[in-house]
Amino acid sequence: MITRTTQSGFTSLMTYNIQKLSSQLQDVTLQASSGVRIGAPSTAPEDQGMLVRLRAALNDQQAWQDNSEAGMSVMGAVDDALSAANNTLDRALELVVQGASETYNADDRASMAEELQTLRDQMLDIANTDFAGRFVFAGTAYDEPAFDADGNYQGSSDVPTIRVGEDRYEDAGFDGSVVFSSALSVLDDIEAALLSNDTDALANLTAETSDALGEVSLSRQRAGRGFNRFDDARALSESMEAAVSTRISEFAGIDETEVYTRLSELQTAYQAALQITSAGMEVSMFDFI
Amino acid sequence: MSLLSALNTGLSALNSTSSAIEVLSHNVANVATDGYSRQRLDLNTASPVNRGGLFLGRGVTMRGVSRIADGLLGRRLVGQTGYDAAASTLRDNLSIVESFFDETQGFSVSERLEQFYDAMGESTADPSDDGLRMAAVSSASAMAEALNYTASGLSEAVAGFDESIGETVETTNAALVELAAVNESIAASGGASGDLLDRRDQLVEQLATTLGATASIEPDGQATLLVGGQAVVNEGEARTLSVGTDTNGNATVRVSVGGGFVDVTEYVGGKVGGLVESRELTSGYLDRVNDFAVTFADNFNAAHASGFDANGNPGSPLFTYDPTAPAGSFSVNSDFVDEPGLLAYAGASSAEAGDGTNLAALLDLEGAALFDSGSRTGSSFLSALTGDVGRDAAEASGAASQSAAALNDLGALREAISGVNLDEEAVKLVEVQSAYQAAARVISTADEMLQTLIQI
Repeated sequence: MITRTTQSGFTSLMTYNIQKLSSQLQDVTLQASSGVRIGAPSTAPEDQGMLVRLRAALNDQQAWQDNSEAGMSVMGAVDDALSAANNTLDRALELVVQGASETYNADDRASMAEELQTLRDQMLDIANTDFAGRFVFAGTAYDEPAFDADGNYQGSSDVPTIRVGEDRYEDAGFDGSVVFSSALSVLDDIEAALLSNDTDALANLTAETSDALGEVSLSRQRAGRGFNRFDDARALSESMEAAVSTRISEFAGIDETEVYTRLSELQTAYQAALQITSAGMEVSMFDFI
Repeated sequence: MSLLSALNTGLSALNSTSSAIEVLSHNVANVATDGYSRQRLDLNTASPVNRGGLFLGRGVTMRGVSRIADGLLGRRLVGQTGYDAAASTLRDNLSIVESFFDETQGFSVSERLEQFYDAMGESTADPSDDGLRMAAVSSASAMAEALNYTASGLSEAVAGFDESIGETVETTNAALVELAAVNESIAASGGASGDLLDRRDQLVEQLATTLGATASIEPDGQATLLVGGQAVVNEGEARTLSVGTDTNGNATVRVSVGGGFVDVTEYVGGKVGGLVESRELTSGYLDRVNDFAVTFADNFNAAHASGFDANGNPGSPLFTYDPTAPAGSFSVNSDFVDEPGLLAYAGASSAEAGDGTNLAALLDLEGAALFDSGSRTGSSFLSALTGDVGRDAAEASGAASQSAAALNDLGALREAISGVNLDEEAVKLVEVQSAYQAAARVISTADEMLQTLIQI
């Protein structure tokens, strides 16, 4: 126990205490003003790993949302195209049924053939749908049209995928040969049968046209499911982003009650230390002699 | 005869009170002098004279001026000063170093690494898209810049520590020479004055601050100072220190012995010791950042070489580095900046636009345990490093706080024993003044009595 005090000792002690309080006050003020408890690594060394993992998870979710939205755009374009293909084949089926009927003559069938030629061109355009520079029915070879003018498939049998999760990739496109090769072929056959006024052939082509229509329908369902998978992935990422953001706030944020109480305590202690220092240095024996 | 004795007795009182006020004045003058130990005039009663069986006092004699100090406390204070200097130096330095690993400022290597993989992940939406490829290359460049920034910051810190070691050693040498000179003065004076001993203790404390060296005080008052078993101050002789470099190019502290040098780096404490430890820790962090750069670049480039770029050519190295300074020189191959199609995302030379086979393999590297002998991913390697830096900085800060508190306590004890209390000095001033007045009155009265006697 110290029983003898000196002015120098008092000054040193108060300077030490004021500096210590000032340093603590600065730390707590920083926390209160920023709303976060984690600053430099030394403020929470044991939490650095978790902080990095949470931030990485947040960035991942944001990137996967972007990718999911890109996939939804592609699959939306696929769906629109397949809807148009469905309408085209519907009309082609009507024409082939009419053409097979004995109530129409050769001139009627020649006229139908002209319409069918238009439908066939439409179908080729649909098969070569270009969404933002991407031929969506060309598989992974989507930088070139899926079909040439003769209806030959030039794309890839591989389907491109987009990353929408840690180990989750979803198909974003189609192998157009599966969808359109038979459709284009049957349209060519119908046109030929109409031009040659061959009702038997037309009757036989009714089933092939229905099959092609069925394939388009099936593909449309697949495209819808693909769209939904991207939508699900996007919703999951959105939900995860919100959850991770909340977790980061909880993890790295301050306990406001604790911090503001501590701030108030330190401010009071700091003011008291300043007052005591001032008062302690005011009186001297030399004032009385 | 007895009245004349009374005059002499009064004179001794006047002399002693005059000296007392000199000592008192010296104390007041040094009230704010660091390391000053208050002084006291030691008085003895003068030997009495036997006059007819009566032992009559002859006043006061001055035995000397003593210095109020506690030797054991002084040694503890010196030792603690060394610890405190080392701890506060390490704390201050690591608080700067840790700023290069701050995960909250948006420029950490780990955050840039995440952004790079995220940008590549967005390329899966369209591996042929030059815009997305460019974004990936830009992210790679941003990560390289973060590595360069961290490495250059750490390298500059290491160089700064070495420079500070050199500067501090120079200052230390001047103190060593002065301490040897003070030793000579102490030896020459026979009985050292309090001020000379204070100067000796100030120098010993200064050397404890810079070197963490502890001194042993010889019976005659001279200080002997050892560092790593080598006497750097012995009586009037000082051996100066010098700064060398070890095989890794790190600064070392050496003592000149004979015609050569003895490396005492590992025994040095104080500020130099704190700088040496700061340098060692920071060099270790830099080594780990370099390890990251090499492991990341080599593995990424190897995986990249397995794929094919947009021209159908095998992937060329995306990242380059100089093996002598991997993180500092880490950069993105400039060809990729001009032509992002060089990113080898495809799995085959006859690449189709949407072929992202190798892109998926590159993305898998993010979760692959390639670092720390295959035990950590890149991200966990970096966060472990950041955690270690933070722990070291926090421990240094805690140690410095504890050390400062201990030093403050010891300083308060020293002040309690050796410090000057102005109130005490004021009271003594009153006492001495009164004693002087009383002595003068005694002389005056004795004189009057003598005059009375003479006039008879």
